Amino acid sequence: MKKDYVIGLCLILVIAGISGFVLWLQPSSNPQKGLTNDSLQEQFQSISGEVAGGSLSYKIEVNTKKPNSPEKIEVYKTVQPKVTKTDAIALAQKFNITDFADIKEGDEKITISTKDMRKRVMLFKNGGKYYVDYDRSDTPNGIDIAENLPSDEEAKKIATLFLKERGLLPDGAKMGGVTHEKAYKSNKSSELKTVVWEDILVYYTRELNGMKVEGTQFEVEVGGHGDIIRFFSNWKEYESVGEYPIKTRDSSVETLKQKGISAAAGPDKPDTITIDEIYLAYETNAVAYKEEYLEPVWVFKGEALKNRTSLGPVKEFVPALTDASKKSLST
Amino acid sequence: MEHMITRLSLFRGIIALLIVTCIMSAVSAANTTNATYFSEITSKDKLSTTGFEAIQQNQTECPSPTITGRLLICRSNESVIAVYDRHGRKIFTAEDLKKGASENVLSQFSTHVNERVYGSNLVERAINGQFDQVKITFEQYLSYIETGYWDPPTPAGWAFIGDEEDTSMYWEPDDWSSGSHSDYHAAVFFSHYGHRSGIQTTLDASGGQYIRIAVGPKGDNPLEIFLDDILIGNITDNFSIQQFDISSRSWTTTSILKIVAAGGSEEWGTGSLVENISLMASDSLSDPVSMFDGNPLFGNAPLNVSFTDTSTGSPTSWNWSFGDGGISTLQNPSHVYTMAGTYTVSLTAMNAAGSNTTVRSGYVNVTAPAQTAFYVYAEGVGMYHGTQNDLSLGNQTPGHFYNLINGQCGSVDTEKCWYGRGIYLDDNAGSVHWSAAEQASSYADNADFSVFVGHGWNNGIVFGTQNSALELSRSNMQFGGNRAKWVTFFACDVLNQSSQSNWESVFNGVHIVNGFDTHGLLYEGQGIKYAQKLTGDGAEDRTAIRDAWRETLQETINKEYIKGAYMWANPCGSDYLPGFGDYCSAPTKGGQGDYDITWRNFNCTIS
Repeated sequence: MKKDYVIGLCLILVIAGISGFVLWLQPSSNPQKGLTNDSLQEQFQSISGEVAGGSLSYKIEVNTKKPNSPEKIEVYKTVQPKVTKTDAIALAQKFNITDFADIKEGDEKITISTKDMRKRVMLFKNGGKYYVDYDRSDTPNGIDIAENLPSDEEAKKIATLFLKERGLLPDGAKMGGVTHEKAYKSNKSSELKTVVWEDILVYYTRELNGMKVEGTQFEVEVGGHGDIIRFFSNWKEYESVGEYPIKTRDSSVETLKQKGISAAAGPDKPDTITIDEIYLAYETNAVAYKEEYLEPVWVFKGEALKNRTSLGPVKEFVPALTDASKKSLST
Repeated sequence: MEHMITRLSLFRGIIALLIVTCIMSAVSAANTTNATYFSEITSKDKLSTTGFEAIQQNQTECPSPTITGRLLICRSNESVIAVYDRHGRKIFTAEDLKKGASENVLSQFSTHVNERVYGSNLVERAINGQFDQVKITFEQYLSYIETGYWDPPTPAGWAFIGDEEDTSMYWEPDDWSSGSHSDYHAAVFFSHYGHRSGIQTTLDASGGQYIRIAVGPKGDNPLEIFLDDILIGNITDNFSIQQFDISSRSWTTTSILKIVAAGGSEEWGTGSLVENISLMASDSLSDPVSMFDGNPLFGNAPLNVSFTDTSTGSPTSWNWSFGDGGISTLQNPSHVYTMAGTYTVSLTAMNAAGSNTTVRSGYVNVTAPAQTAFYVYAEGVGMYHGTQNDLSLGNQTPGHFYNLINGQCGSVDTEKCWYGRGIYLDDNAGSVHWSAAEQASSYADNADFSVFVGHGWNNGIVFGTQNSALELSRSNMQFGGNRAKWVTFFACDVLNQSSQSNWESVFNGVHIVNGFDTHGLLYEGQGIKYAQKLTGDGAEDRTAIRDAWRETLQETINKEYIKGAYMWANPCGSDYLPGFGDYCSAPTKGGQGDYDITWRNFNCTIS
């Protein structure tokens, strides 16, 4: 009996050990792709000197598990859209803008405004769309107030239906969530603040190759009575060009050390930056900037602290492609 | 119904009888009257004989009145003693007839029948009275005047004066006053065998002189045209217009044009027509002397100037040149000068005798519209953030913004223009250009729109390239007042929600403050983009100041942890850059001297 007990215990330990080993070998899912169960409490000692353009001195604490560091990653080339004034007019019509005075076209975008300039669409040549009702967006108007807003779930449905009906919801867009956008009014001599405007921002996220596309902007603002009062998308088309070697996690950490943390600049001068999450992702450029390919990045996510008090979130991106990969892609 | 038809038939019969009676009377007059009379009428006069009645009843004044056409001729023993016009006004008397009568005319007069009125007296009268331009004496046998009716169309280019009931001859001195007939000296119509005919004398711009004669039926023989008894041509066709050049002929204002239509036939009737026409104006007609006034003569564009013709010599047409390419042929035109400048105005006044031009150099002075000056200020601290890939953005961003706003005049209100108050880049000296401590007029305190690009925190901004450089808290900044109505901080955290109430203290006239609620980052082209949105340059449509800020960040920042923010004093939240759209005149106070301030942050990216 005692022998059986010992054998059973050994078997359990072996199975647990094997299971643990297998799990350690398997890559994790986004956003912690590449993370292992192996807890890493890596701490950077104080960094001082000309790190961030000033006499910075702060400590970086990494409080997250050590991520896996794949040798290669799928890289996507950006497909530059071809947009015309006709496309811009079609976009305007989706938002019932038909009475416009002029179409302005530049290198970056095509803009159509209503004659009274109160509504506008933009079609970005780098892949993006924009609609705004200036009389409603960010402007207290008596309509966009809490009591007129749909519920969050209703807002999601309204936004999604609106986009689908107009062919504006691309494949791959995933519901991200909602936030309540608010404007606060206060009297100069009073501490009392009241919400004078509110809408619901419904946003969508994007993944490629099982990894998050950072910088994606795809949002719809739902105002009072379920009206769509603003829409903005920075959504580019990509095509895979194969796998390319990337920098290791450790080398990206070294880069981060040299580069510093942008949030560490400024008069508040945090004494500590915590890194609570490290993962591989892609980073898309803002819509104003051209993009040759979708950049893989190491993402360091955490907080800036001063006297253990949070000064705000920190999110630093370190480009992951090796120089050779970049050179190869550019040619 | 039958009763009505009967009454209608009776009515028609009465009308027909009246017409026949009238025609018979006319024919009778044609056969029995052999008086020649002198007739004058203007287009303003209506044919009326009501004025005759009083004269006719005055046997002493007019013992034997005879109405001929629209003249009342008073005779005594078959001699004309006075002639009245249709309004009862005495035109002249027998004594008048003796005045100024030339032998030539008298001779001609004597060749006609007894009751002829001496025409030259009437000419004089017209000169001193109603008519002051071309004068034509007109004589004709009455028999050909009152015998017909108008039926042919008016010859092209000729004016018909009067109504169809007026079968008398008349002439129209004002006929050539319109532009298209400015060179017509006179046009005369008369009825010849019941058809319209006419005579027109013409001076063209090059000095050519013509007589144009239009005839209905010419009669059996060609019309003979005499100038001072010299035959100058014939008209052989019915219903034709023929022109005779008299440029090479010597003629004077007393020359007589005579048209003789002689002969008779069954078709055209018998009798002859002799027309004597004094070709040209009186001796008093001469070239006009052009002169004009304008009002106002100076002011800002657009300047509407009213010009008044003060020419003498009775011009009949005018050519104005306003000096900016504008012209007019009106007598008293108005002209709008849209561009600043000094303009020379000229007027050419013309009449039958000639033309005269007056040029007034530098007569109108138009100044540029009154501009309202606005000022932009920008300051940039280099080495913005050590983590950014381009450390020069701290200078580029304010530089681009400043240079694109400075010198711009509004697209909506062109009278509002922007000038530079100053730009300070990479200011190692640590000057406090936003502080009350420095009152220099070139600093942010005295600009309408101030931009700071550099380090910031939730209670102020930092100057210099070093983070330890001089800090300036918002309590020491001088916004509002006379200037700094719109302020933008490309600086971290200046509008943190947690310190919203701190910034409310700066709202002493500030309309809008743009900034970041969180950490902020600079990206290439933000200064350009922001300025272009404000002014509507490039592919941008002009955008309100708050919206321009949000859109600039939205299009350039892909970091989800960065939030922009703005505060505004009501009702200035929708302000455009002055000149490029509406903006509020001043923030309103919410009560008890306090402003209502609204704060709002927004995600640049959310993913």
